[in-house]
Parts: sequence; C-alpha cells; structure tokens
Amino acid sequence: MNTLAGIPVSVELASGNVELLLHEIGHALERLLEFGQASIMDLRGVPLAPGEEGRILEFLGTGEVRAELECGGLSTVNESRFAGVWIVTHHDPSGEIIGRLIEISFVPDIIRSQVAEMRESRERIAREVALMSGPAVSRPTTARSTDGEDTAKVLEKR
Amino acid sequence: MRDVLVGDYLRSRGLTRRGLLKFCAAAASWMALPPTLAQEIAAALEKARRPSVIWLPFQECTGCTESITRADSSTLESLIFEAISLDYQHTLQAAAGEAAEEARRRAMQDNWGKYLVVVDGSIPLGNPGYSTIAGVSNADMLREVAEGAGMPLAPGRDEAIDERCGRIFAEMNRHPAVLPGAGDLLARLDAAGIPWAIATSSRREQVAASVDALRLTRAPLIVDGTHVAHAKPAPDLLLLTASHLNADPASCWYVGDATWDMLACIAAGMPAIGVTTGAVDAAALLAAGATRVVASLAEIAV
Repeated sequence: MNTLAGIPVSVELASGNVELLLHEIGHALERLLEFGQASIMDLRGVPLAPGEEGRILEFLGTGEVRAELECGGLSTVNESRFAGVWIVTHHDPSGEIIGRLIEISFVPDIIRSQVAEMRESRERIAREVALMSGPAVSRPTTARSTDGEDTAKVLEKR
Repeated sequence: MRDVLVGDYLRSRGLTRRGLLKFCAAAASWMALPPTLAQEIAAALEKARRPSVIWLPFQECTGCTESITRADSSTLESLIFEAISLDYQHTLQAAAGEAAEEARRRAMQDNWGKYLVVVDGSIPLGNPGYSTIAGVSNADMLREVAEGAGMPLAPGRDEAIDERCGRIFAEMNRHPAVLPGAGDLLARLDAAGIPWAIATSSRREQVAASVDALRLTRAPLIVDGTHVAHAKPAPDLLLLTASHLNADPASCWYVGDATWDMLACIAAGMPAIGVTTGAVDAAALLAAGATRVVASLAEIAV
C-alpha cells in the first residue's frame, strides 16, 4: 500500500474520446484492408482523462506478436488482440515513455529493415565474405534481378 | 563539418535509422504534428546539412544551458545537438568577448536567410538597458538577428502550435483566481445597462476556466482570436468587438493589463484603461498608450 496504485480508490472521469478513438481504429483497419493505407494515431495527441489510456490499452489487449528494439532506449511493439492493430511504445534511455502510438498496418515501420542500412549490409557482407575467401577471389557485390535491376532499388520501390 | 549531411553524421555516431525514426516519431508528437510525418521528418533530417544556429540567451536563469551542457550521458538529443552548428551562444562564449559577437555577425552573413534563432529568456521592453549584450539591448539584438533567420512554417503549423499551447494552458489553468474587483465591475456594468464583452487573442475554450471562475449570471459575449486574421496588437479584435456591441470604437473603454492591449487600443482608436495587475507597470502601460492607469479594477467607477 505504499504506492498510489495500491490505494483501492479510482476516480472516474471521461473525455468521451475513448469510444471515438476505438471507432477510428476500426475505420483505419477498414482503410488498410480496402486500400492498403496504413494509419498511425498518437495517443498523446488525443485529449484523454486519467485512466482512459489504460482503458484503451485494456480493450486492445495483447496478441501473439511482441518485439523489443533497443535503439536510444527500449521500444516495444505489440500486436493487439486485433490483427493489424499494433501498440508501439517508445522509451528514452532512462526508461521514461516518450511516445505511444497505435499503428494500423501490416507491419509497423520501425520493425521493417531499413533500405539504407540494407545497402550497407550488402556491402559489408561482400567485404567480409571476400576476406574469408582470400584476396584472390573477387565476387559481385550487387545482386541483380532478372531484368538487371539493382535488387535494393526494387525493394525500395516496393 | 558543416557540409556533412546530418544523416551521415548520425550514422557515423552509431545511430541506426530505427533510432532516428523513433526520435522523429517522438518529435512529431512533441510538435503536435501527425505521427505519419515521422518518416518524412527523418528523410528531411537525413538529407539536411548542419544548420547554423544562433542561440540568444536573454534574461534567463542559465539552467537550460547548464542542463544541456552538463548532461552526463550521450543522448540522442545530444547527437542531434552536435549535428547542428551552434555558431553563437554568448553564455558559453562569454570569455571570448567581442570575438563572440564577431562570430555571430559572420554566421549571420554566411547563412543569411537560412540560419535558425533560438531565444531563451525574457526581454525587457520598458527599460532596454536592464539587459544588454556587448552594449546591445536584447530587443535590438533580437530584431537584428531575426531579420536574417529563415524557416517558414508549413501551412497550418501555426494553428497546430496555437491549439496545442491552448490545450496545455487549459490543462494547467484548472483553478484560476479571479482578479479582485472583476466580478463586481461586470455586475455594476450590467446593472447600469452598459454593454460589455471579452476580447481575447486566445481561443474561447482556452479562457473557459477563467470565465467560469467569474461566476457570471449570464453568458458573456466573447470575441476571440479565431474570429480575426490578426491578434493584438493589431486592432482587428477590438474593432470586431465594438461592432458586435453596436458601438463606435471611440466611445468604448478597453480594460487591459498588457502593453499589447494598449497598442491595439491606439490602433483601433479606442480609449484604454491600463491595470497594473499584469506583468508590466504603470509607466510601461502609459508609454504604450494607456489613457488612464489604475492599480485595481475596483478603482473603475461606473
């Protein structure tokens, strides 16, 4: 009982925005399915009464995918119990939450491999494999698709 | 170093693109921008060259500078901070004396129309001599530096900033105190049949808590900043309010406590009563154009 959360009293306040936001999530999911258009909602950009963010997260629940990223502090990506509705929470290096987003997409942007870094990886793999194989062996550093186009460019177009 | 792209610099310091995306998502949230813009912010930031920044610390406590320069860990913010070219900050450059001022002038000349200006602290307007840097008043230095600064706001950005400021103010303004004599003055005006209105550059919803605190017996006429193109010190708000009251501006009395109120009155041709309950004193209100100055609203006879 030495924390606020331990005190068995709750104050019920309502902004009226919880239901609106959940409706909007439903519409966003429809847009994703119909047109392939992803949406992101910033929970900090929606006026909410104390406890309402918790209500939203409780409603969304947890699904089967959970990912953690360590980039300038922990970030967690959880698929909710609704497929395609993701909860992305960013923390700073000291653990404070600096952003909480609801992303309606097939895969959240921050999870995808980044094309610029994939290009660097391609070069690095080529260099490291060349080192393993010895200096006399030269290998192509760029994979090409059947029409001769740089594969990374094809990926980027997608 | 200035020619290095910010993205290349951040990558050279070990920041991954995911880390940049995360920072941009948080930055979009702080700036009340749509979260979908995070990708675009990241792309723009990566391709940007280190911008020249002139930081003008005026009447401030130096705590902000201390907290940034004495950070004991390398945060993402500090990497971004290193990715700008801080060409002038006189608190940090105090020992350099006139050389610091020369650096400011050179940075302005080299980056005219493109540099960023950060202003920290208040600026004395009543007596500019209260705060000077190298013999130049804060107000004059800001005017000089701001002239060559360049970063146009995207369409609608000013509205988003204003809306967010208002929301934060409304959250903090939960229990506003009523100015002594305010409710009584309005009651006396009503009793005398004299029409009155509230003219505020803020949004109606931002002043709702303050108006509620007056416990008025009727809903007041409120003309707010969203009704006009230009807020105070432009006369628009006062002229529109007078027209709502079916009154000639010259026959109205405006009551306010800020220099901008007085300047707006001069522009609108409306007599002004300055009240010294705000941030400025009687001399500043009179200098700005107040017709009369009182210390309390109770002094205003109806």
